[in-house]
Amino acid sequence: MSAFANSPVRSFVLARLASGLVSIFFISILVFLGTALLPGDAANALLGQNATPETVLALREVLGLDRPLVLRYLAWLGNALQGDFGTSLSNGQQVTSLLAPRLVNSLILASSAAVIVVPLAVGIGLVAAMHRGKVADTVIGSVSSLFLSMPSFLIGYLVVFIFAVQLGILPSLSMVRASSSLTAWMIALALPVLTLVLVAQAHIIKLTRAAVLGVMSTDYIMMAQTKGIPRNTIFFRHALPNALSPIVSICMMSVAYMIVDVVVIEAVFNYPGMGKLMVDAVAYRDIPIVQACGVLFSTIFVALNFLADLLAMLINPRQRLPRKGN
Amino acid sequence: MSSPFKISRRSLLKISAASGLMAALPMGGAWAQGGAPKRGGHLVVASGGASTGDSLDPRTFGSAYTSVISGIPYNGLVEVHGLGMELRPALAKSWEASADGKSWIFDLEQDVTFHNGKTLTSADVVYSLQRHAAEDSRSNVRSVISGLAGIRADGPNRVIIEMPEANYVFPAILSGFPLGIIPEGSDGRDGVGTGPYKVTRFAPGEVLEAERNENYFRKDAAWVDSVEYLAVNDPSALNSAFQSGQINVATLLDERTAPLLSQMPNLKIYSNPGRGFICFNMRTDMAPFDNPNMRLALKLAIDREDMIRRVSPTVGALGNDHPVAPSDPMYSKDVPQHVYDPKRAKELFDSVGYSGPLVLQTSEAISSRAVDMAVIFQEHANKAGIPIEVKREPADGYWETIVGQTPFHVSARSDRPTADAILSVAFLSTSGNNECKWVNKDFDAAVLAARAEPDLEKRKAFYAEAQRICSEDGGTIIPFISGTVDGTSSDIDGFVPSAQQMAGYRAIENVWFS
Repeated sequence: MSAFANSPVRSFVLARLASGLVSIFFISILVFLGTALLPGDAANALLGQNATPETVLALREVLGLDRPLVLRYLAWLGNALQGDFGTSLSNGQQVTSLLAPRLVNSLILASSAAVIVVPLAVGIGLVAAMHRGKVADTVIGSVSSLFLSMPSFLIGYLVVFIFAVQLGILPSLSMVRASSSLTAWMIALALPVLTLVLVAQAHIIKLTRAAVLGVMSTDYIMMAQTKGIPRNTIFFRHALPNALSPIVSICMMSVAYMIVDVVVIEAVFNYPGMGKLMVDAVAYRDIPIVQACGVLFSTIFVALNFLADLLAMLINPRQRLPRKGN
Repeated sequence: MSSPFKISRRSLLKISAASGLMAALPMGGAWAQGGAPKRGGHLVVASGGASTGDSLDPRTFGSAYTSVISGIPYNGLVEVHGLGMELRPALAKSWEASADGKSWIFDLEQDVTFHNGKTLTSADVVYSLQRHAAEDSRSNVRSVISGLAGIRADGPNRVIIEMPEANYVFPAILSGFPLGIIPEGSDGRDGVGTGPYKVTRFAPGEVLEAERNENYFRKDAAWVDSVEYLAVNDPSALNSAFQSGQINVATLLDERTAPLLSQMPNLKIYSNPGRGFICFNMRTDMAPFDNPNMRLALKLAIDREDMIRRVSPTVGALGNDHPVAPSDPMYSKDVPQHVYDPKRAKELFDSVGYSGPLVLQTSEAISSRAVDMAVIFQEHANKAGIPIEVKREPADGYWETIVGQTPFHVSARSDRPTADAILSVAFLSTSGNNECKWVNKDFDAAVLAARAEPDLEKRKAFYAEAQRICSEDGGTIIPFISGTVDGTSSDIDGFVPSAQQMAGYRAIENVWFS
């Protein structure tokens, strides 16, 4: 342990954890303020077209919306730290119990897509790098740019149009529940996962290619080439290990961005995940749910960022060693 | 049924039903109700407008999604049926007014059981209606029920509803979808009612699953074995799932894609003429709209036919700045129709002496069509030399901060079961929901006299007067009355076109797989 105690890994982890927590704290303030500043409040949204001033006032009091903002924030933060995000304004259920199954669904969707897209896109990126400037590289580059330049919901609608409406082989609505069979899950997940893969692949392919080519243009690779080492050996034994660290952080970042796309994709496929819950909650001014989703999404994002840096460091032996002077 | 105006009302309905028939025929393919009803099958229904906050308590129903739930586990006392919105029995097998018109007597269907085995009695009905008026009630019929003089049981099978004044048009109000009957003492959250399907699973904002109620009191209904009612809030997702055959019955489809959908051989599309509308509100207590000439100028500065053609070609019916739909039995043909008259509009506008553009606020919150309508109105008015500036507001908070608050904005009203209901809620000076703050003593008097009038022809005359005053002087511009579009897959039979969406919310118990 003593080796670990003095290692840069430990101080790195501690520093990053601290800065992560600070980020999440500030995010919580922003989320709380943002939701408080939304025009109209839950009392109005709940009553809708049939609201009268008296019923709105009565409901505002019941919901505690008449208390000062700072007090509401402190009370909310205190409870949130204990894992209690309050109760849903519209149906009185615990936010945590509403959120938990939805979070699981979102994580299943995102991780299914990640498990497919990471090896696939890294592989394609390597192929592009190995065939730099040739036909394969050009084709890969243009196809991935095509998807990169399309908004994710449009890719979703295209996928639905082709596979559900035209071919009729896969469902456009992803209705799943915990008790569904594995096959039912796979069928339901097919189109949303395909969409997420198409959305996330471009960054990974392009940056993998760039990372490998960056290493390939360094002096020691040129040295190896002049020594007459076979091209494949240079590529896999010398270049790739040194490019791994940036590739890993690219993949983690892409997965983090994918979490953001999940919000949109879930709405397109009517998938019962956290993103759809959040979108619906915004529409109905169910502030506790919006706040909890906001904080949870940010936490996942910060955590993946942290993991990306940590992995990149562990993979790169130079960063593992104690620095001189420590 | 022993309603006092049964015969004349029936014959009237036939006329309106015939005139509305063309609109409700499926637009593509042959419309054949293929043979006798069959039992069996799993029906998938879908609608938007759902939320995780939805509850099975009928008192909370109000959204596009929850209004359709009313037809799954629940029944009301009465129902409206078909294009003429004919009143027909449900849990009440008959009803009649007292001689003075101040109370209505409802005789209940006997041997009706709730899903929990309890037998329906008048106490359940009294309880179910009264809870809409409770202090904590957020029901959208709260003002109607709390305005009654009394709801009481008279023996186990009779309910008497008393009103402060004579009201001969009251029973139709009870067809409202929040007025489903639940057992006495229930909070409604378990979905136990008397209806055609028992709720087996409800995940708010996702799905409601239900199976046939084998003890349903109607023997000629509830054909399919089980129902799955999906919440699909994204209109494109709803559309593609409907096209690809994942959904058997879809409601509130986008009117603009309906003509395309109706060309698909695997779908049947029904356009319901409807009673709701999108309107331009002018606050009659705010300048410059406190001047009746300004209001009339704008009513004449809109080309209604052009707007219908561009915005609502399949289900729009010409509007005349009062809320009574042409398909309504109380509709008056004698109210002079406002037509596009740029010259006269400009003269009236100039007579007011207002300078600068009129700011018209609109938003997607009302409907995607609300934005188009404002822009088209601007174009028509500008041609007449009346400057309108369209201001597009964010959807968030539009209903709370703009509607009924600012001088000139777009709003909308949903279906109401009777002419009286919409005239009272939206236009009576005493209504809290009078968005234009319009006050006209003659109009108020005509509406109150109409509902207290037992003779149908005289009542129609009072309503005609109310429509005329509203059209001439009111603060609301209603270019057209909108409808709704429902659709089924081609293997579904028994869907009865109605003036309301989903066959008056009862479509699920009426359809079968051919």
